[in-house]
Amino acid sequence: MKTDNKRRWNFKLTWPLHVMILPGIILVILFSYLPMFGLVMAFQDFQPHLGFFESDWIGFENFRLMFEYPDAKQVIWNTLLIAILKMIAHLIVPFTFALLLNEVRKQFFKRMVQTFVYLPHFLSWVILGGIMLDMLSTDGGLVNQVIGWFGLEPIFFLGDGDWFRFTVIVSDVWKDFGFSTIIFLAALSGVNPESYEAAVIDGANRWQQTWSITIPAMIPIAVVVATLSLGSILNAGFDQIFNLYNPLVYDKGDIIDTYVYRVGLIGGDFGFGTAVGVFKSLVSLLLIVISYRLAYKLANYRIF
Amino acid sequence: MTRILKKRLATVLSSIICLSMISACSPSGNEGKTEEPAQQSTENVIVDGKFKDTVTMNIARQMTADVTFQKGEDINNNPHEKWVKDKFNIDFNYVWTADSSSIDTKVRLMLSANEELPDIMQFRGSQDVADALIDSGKFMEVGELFEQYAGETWKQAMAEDPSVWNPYTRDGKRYGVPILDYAYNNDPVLWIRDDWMKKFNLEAPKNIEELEAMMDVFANQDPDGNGKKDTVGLAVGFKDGMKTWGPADSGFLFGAYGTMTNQWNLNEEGKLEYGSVQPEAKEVLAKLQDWMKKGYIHKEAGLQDAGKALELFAAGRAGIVTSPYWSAGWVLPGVKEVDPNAEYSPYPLPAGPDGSIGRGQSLTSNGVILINKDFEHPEAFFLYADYLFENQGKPGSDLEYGLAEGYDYLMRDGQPVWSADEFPEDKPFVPVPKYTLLFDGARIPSQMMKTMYDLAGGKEPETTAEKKASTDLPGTIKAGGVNYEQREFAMPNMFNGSVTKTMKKRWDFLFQMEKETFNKIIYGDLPIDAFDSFTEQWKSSGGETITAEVNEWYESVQVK
Repeated sequence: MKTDNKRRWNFKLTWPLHVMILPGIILVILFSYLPMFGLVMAFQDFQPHLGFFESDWIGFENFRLMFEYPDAKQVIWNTLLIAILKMIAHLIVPFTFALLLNEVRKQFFKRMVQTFVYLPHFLSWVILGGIMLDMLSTDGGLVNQVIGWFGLEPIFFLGDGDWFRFTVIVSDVWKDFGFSTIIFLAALSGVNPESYEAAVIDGANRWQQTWSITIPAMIPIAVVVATLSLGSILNAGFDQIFNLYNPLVYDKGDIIDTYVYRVGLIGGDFGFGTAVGVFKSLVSLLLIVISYRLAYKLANYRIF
Repeated sequence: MTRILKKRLATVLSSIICLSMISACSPSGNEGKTEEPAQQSTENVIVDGKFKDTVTMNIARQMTADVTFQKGEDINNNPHEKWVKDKFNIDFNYVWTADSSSIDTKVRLMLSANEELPDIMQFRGSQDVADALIDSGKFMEVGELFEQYAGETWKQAMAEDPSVWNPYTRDGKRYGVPILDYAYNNDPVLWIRDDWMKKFNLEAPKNIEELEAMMDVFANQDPDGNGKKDTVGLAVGFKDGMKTWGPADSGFLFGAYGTMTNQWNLNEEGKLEYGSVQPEAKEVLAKLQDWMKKGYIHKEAGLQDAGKALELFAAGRAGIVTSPYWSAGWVLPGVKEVDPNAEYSPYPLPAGPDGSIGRGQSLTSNGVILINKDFEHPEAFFLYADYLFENQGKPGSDLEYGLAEGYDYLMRDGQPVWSADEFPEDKPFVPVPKYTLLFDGARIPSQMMKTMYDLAGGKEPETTAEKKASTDLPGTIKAGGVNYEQREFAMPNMFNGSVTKTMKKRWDFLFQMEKETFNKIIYGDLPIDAFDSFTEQWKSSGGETITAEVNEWYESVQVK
């Protein structure tokens, strides 16, 4: 009875706040929920001039085809492989880098390095794609010149399937590790300095301090980052692949997003494109739910 | 007090935000639709090329981004619209316009909502939307009207490439008037470095054999004299397929062996066949594999698209490239910055072992006019369009120099001026031909290249078209002439309908497989014989069905 009273009174006081949130809700409904109606295309033989209401319903035909086509299977496998390798690299590299940067004593140098490594994050893959094509060229490209100094044969980075995957992962990490480093550095700044002081009194050297204080302090945030990135396990990076791939590496480099783009938008098979997109979203949703539970269990991290 | 004030403020603010949101989200509802009943008069006849009573034509048109107006004018109020009223007593009434990015959606929505369609639909969107419009059954057959009202000039222009009718033909009947554009615009000619040729006493190659000899010299004998082996013979890009949209194209090689890749060709039996799976393609791939091995083509050709490959020539690293005539003004001149002594000219494409020459042909049609079944005076459109075809640029006509004085040309001392720089600032040059129902005025497909050919042959510019063309770069004109000379070798893509059912499902896979196999063969990762298993797989993975569908379509568009 009492709580009930309180609630009503609260609402009287806070209703302007509720009204203020309304535009945000309307926007989300308008631009995030209403378009979901388009998902019905996945179950139709969608014809643009017939629209959602008159196109023929074909049930799960599009999904069946997806697992039947040899190219679709290859594409799913490529996506998983590239995305998982990217995930692992995106965890290890920023983690190590933050650890190293944390040991730097000169503030100026630390800040400068930090800025430098996270600058590439803001470059578009369209531009980087062009730059990389030149830099990785077997014909006078910077990277292959350096390789040449060691007396090695030039490597056809973008034209050889396995090297292509390697290039994609390394360049993606190069572009974004600076940004992820910030998260780890933030975690480190939260460590109580007294822990280190106490450790010094106990006679711990630098290595022992790192091992017993710094790393344990970073583990929870690393778990959060890792589990949350599980949700994007089927995102292998459309912009990047699209700007770098070519006929020589289709078998090793084609991913779900580029495939959907070609089949759905270029080829005009909207139904099939949507089906692949829905499949991707469902897998992502499932993994996000699982990873959220994991993050809660392992690192006591929760949003709600 | 302040607390109450704060609360009030919050209330007011939030309601303002809310209101503005709502008003922004609700449909504005002013589509600018004016519904005027078409003038109806059973006795409205054409006297001296003019209607007795005013004919109101309700038009919907696609406004391409290049349609600009002088101050205070718009599509419903401009010199062309007034001229049409005076000349033919036809009232152009644009009921709605849409830009190129939204026309498809707009038409789809109109069709699905069963809205009333305009008398004249001026459309330049995607083919499947054009199909939807025609298949809605609301537009009339125009083939007979065209035969009846079109004059010689227009008929001949249409006859230059009869396949322009195909996308709008159903069961042998024509349901749309194709908009003609200048032909051969992106057809390639061969560009060669003249200074390199001179250095080694070479002549322009007439066949593939001579081309090979020349490539060998360019690739191995250091034509740029920098002491490094950093040049290739031919610049080609394979990233987007063997035949590009224009520059750095290798389609001409397939042409020399008698087929054309990435498109549908008419074979001797009168059927359409896909060029890339014909046995001739195998010979070309064998050649390219050999050339790749010998370094005649760049080892990253598979990574390069048309533009990137063209840069090789512009960077002075390649001696030969195929590219459209307009390349003389764009990209190719870059080579002069690298090497001030660089000289290059356009040459005809070389012939294959049995003497055949071929090149991909760019589209001759670019849009369509559809006429509503309920329109009282369909002949009004033909009267108007035919006048443009007969008179635009013709000496002695009121349209000799342009469509409207002070808009797309000026008269100065009795001489016409077309340069945009000469126009006064408050009344700038505007492209009046773009106001017409034909999108760019009356364009006779071969006219542009024909004009260049005449000028390249030393003809003094007389007509408006010639005078305008003569202001182009000499290299462009020369290349245009070369292009025109070889026009009989242009191979059009005979399939210009909308994608077929199986194409939609399987084309991406097939084309991807084609590009992958071709590139791997060229790079030597796969043996030449992989081509045979490729064609087998191509056929069994949907290619055969698609071929049947394409031929079924081709059958259906033949006018009996």
